Amino acid sequence: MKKLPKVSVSSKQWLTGITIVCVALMAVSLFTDSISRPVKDVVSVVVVPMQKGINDIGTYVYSKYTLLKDFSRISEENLALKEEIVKLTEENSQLSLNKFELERLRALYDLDDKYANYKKTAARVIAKQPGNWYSVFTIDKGSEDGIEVDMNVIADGGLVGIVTDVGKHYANVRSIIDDSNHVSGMLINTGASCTVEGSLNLMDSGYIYVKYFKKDAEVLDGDKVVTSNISSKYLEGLLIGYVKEVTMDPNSLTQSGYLIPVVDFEHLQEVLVILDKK
Amino acid sequence: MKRKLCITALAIVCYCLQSTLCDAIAVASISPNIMILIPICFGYFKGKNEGIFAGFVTGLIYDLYYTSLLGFSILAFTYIGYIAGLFQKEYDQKRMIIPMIITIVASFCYEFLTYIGGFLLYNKLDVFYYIGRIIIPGTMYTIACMAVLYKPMYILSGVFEKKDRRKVTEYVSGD
Repeated sequence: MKKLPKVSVSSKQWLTGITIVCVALMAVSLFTDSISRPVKDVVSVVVVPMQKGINDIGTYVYSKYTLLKDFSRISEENLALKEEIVKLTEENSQLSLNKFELERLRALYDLDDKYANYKKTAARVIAKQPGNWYSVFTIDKGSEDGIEVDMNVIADGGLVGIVTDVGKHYANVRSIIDDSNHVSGMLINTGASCTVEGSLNLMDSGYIYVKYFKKDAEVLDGDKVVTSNISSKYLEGLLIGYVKEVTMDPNSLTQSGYLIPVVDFEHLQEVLVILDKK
Repeated sequence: MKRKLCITALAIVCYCLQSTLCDAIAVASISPNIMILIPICFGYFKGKNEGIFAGFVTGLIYDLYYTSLLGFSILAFTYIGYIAGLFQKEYDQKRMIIPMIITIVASFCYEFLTYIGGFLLYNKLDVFYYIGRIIIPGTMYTIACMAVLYKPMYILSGVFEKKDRRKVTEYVSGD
């Protein structure tokens, strides 16, 4: 049997072809995601259950690990308790720390009551955006569960972020510590408006920036910042965090400083999506 | 075709690990990039065409869910696969030094391009902070992963090759 002549494409031709396709894709994707949408839907059928599975294993291992860690901690503590009276001072500081935590938890409890009016749905974090540049994560609920783009996401009684992309069974949430995220906020006691900006520069400290307080606004350390009533996407009154070290800017027109977010973004496992939209 | 499906499956598995496990093993909020290793390994072991294909598939999956600029990683990974392919057969493949150097250069360049596109253009001009805090630690962690994954990758590509060879001999004997 005679073989058909095989069309051979050299690797350079492949490369040129792919380059042209990619440049076109990039240009189109600036305006719409309709090209990638079907591919996303198909791949997510495979990827999302796998991510869930890996995540379940991880959670299981982590819980066992913390159990072990707790166990060794308890035995260490037991030993230490037997030793000396010096321990008492340590215990004292421990108590004051607990007191602080109690106050914080009480405050959060109040806020939780406040949020109770909104319709919410719980979701689990199953994946994070690859790479070290952005803080975008995926939750295991999607359009089938009633989630839409621009819905607010909370956890631990504070604002986590906003839904940016929704698939059938997954949704992407951009957190407020992401470098490209801006939230307009206000002080809960005086109503002074400001802007909260995520920042990669401050990733080691765990703070984010709070900027553009008016020069005559009175801002003290520990003041609560909540989402502003003038925000177009965020519901009013969600707690973002506590102000720290606000100083006058060099331009003498605005004040800015740091903000300690309420949410622990390092160990975020479960979030609540508010189904009401502004 | 079978090979291509295998590479696609590998890319999907690696993506799942990248978005879950790699985040869990992050040190100082820096996680390794294991996706970039696929085009490097397949390019280096199997040549330019394989590298281009592996790069295309991994880049596509890498870009699919999060970036608004679909195509950037596809382009970068495809070129990485092609460049890795240029070094195929020139060196002893059991030695890790050449793929390591390719990984360093590729990872650094890819991350730096990400910085330019996503940060420098948004007036985040503190180049040395980002290089020192994000790019170099990320690259180091990726190299560490390369050191661990080099042997499995080598075996994996060898397994595929045996099947290919058998196919060729069958074909020849059938002729």
